Amino acid sequence: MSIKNAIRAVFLFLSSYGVSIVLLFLLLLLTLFGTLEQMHIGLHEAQKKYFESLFLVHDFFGIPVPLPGAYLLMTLLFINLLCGGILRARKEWRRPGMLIAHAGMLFMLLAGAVTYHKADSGHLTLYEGEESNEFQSYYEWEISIAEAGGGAQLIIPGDDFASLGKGESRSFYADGLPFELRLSGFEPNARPMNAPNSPDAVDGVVLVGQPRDVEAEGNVAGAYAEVVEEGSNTAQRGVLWGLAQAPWSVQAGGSTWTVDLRRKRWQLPFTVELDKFHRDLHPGTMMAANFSSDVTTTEEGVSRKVEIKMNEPLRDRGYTLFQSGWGPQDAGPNERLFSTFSVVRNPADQWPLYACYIVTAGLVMHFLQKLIAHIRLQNRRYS
Amino acid sequence: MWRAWCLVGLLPILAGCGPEGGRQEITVTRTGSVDTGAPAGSMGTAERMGFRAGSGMGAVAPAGGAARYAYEAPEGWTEGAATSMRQVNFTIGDTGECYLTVLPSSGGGLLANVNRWRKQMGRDPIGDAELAALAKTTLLGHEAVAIDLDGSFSGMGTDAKEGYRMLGRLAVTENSAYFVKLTGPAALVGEQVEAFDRFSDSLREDPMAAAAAAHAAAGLPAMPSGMSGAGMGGLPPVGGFDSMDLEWNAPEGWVKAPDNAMRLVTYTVGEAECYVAVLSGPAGGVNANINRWQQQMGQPVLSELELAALPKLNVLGRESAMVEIKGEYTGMGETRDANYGMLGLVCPLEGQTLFVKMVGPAEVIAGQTDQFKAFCTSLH
Repeated sequence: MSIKNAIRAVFLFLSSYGVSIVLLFLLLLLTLFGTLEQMHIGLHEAQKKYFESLFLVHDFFGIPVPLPGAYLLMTLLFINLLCGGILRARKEWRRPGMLIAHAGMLFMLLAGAVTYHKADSGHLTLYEGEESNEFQSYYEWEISIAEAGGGAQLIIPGDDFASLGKGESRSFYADGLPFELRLSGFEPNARPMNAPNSPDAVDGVVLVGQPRDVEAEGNVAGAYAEVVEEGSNTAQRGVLWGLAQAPWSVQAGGSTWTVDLRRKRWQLPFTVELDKFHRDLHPGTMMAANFSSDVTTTEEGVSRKVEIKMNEPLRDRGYTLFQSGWGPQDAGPNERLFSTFSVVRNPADQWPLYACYIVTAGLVMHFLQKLIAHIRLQNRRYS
Repeated sequence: MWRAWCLVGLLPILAGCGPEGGRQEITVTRTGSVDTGAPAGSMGTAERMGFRAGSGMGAVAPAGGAARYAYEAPEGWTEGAATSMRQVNFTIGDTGECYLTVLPSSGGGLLANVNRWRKQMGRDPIGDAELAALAKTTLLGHEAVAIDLDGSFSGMGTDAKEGYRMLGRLAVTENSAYFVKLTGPAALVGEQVEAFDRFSDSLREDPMAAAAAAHAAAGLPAMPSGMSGAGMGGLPPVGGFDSMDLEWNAPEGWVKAPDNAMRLVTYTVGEAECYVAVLSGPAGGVNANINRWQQQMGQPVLSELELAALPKLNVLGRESAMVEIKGEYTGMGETRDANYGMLGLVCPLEGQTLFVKMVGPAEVIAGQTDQFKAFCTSLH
């Protein structure tokens, strides 16, 4: 078979209806299994396992069933739609509707891919009078290393140490850092325990792994750390925990350094200060009817007052801040309140909406063409 | 079609391969806020984890976890992680354990729990008369019964262990149940009797730990140590019974009952009883308390909408939810009274919560609804 024929065969295969049917059927299965599994492992874990993976193993009544993940399936579906719905499809001025609809579907899949790879989301919680230029993740962790009093931090992303289970370790180094940081024994949900007799204890404290919380935000990660100074054979040992009251401080290279396991953070290009939080209650109840926040955003010395309320987020520099919560929920009158904003940075924020417009336009166009053709045919028959 | 199945079956080794073990260069840098925490060397590992040294008797519970109680840990007891059912958790040697359990309801009642523990020790259940004869003690400020049992211990999902002993204290109130239990081989437990008593006597609610736990649960940065929840203004302290300077107009036919340390006033109306209590802080919140009463009356909890739709009375200038419930009332000591009624009102005040509750036979309660409302609105 010549190369040309081989390429053509592959193209015909990838653009076939059979592939479409198989892919859609598998996506349906994943949706079913993922929805059911979510009750047991939580929304965040179910999404990662079924909808953001290339491959997974589903427990079907005790039988492990390997399945392709939704990321792989939607990648193949994109190729299938591109090849079959656009490249291979007949292109006639009489039939633009289906081409447009398929283009809309491709745009929708592309929006999903861009969101998955490029979007950041987390929360920013402020008490009245507080300000911040960072928001943090609900789920992801990172380790920061900084010289006390210094400005720059070295960041170890969670993906680089989250796989280090019991007995596994990895050393991290950087230019200008007078030591190597060795991480081991990462637990996605851990509690510290006093156990002075344990061989793993650091200053009498060990980390005890806990079952993962179904509400993924409730998991608090922990790991063991060692700092080995350049030219030294001795190591300083420490415990890192997501709810520790202070970072781990070590002496190295004549300076004090802090090592901190914390929720992943992103910096905003502006500072947000919560001036006042407003809460309206349903009459006679303590249930919030609506709530809003008066904030001041400051960017390069320029401040502006903004109101953020339910369904009216703040959009600035590609970031969207939604009013998502407040507390304490049982606060009495005149008590200081905090406001929580969901923060999202997503280049494809509005793409799904545009994709829906495109698909709708294509389908309406196709429907109208079919309707007109049908009416004309009926007129010819009876004329 | 089969080729399509093969395509998805040929899963490339595209699954993300993270960095392998060994060494890895840090390439990400960031400028911005840095939590430097305490000055170098001033916080040890235990302190960073929230453990605080007790008065020479061991570590106190971690504030960053789920614990909200303070106590003096006996020497030789190893503190473990708190769990949903064990708010305070210790192991003693390899085979002993002692833990505190606090439930947000009566937990089935005192007798049921005493008999559950007796069953765990392979002993026969007891009745009300024997329950009344058990030694009395206290636990977390509540009247409790003390138990001391020898036998073969069958814990949750474990085989029976011969030659074991159990020490315990149980306290059940209208709204909560408190248990502290020590189990282990008889010889080990025999050495820990005094330590168990000291530990149980030292147990108390710790507003700081409770506030820190609530703070952490809200996803907020850890509270600086040494600051009280009330001082930050964001987290009112968990409180106990409070006092309040109040006056009221008692309805006709209501007879004042003897004073009770936990109540402002108690009245009886035939077989029904009505009392006023004030707790400091939100006391769990309006909705949680109403739903606790629902459960006490054997009724399902109310939804948010149902709670919001409850009638309101203006009490002490606050719109206060009032509930009327009929059902089987479960009181102290697992007493159950069918065909009972309850009228309840929760008034959230500044720094306090006021409760007015009337319980009795359904026909008595039904005839006292207007009087109950008048009593509540007369409070000033």
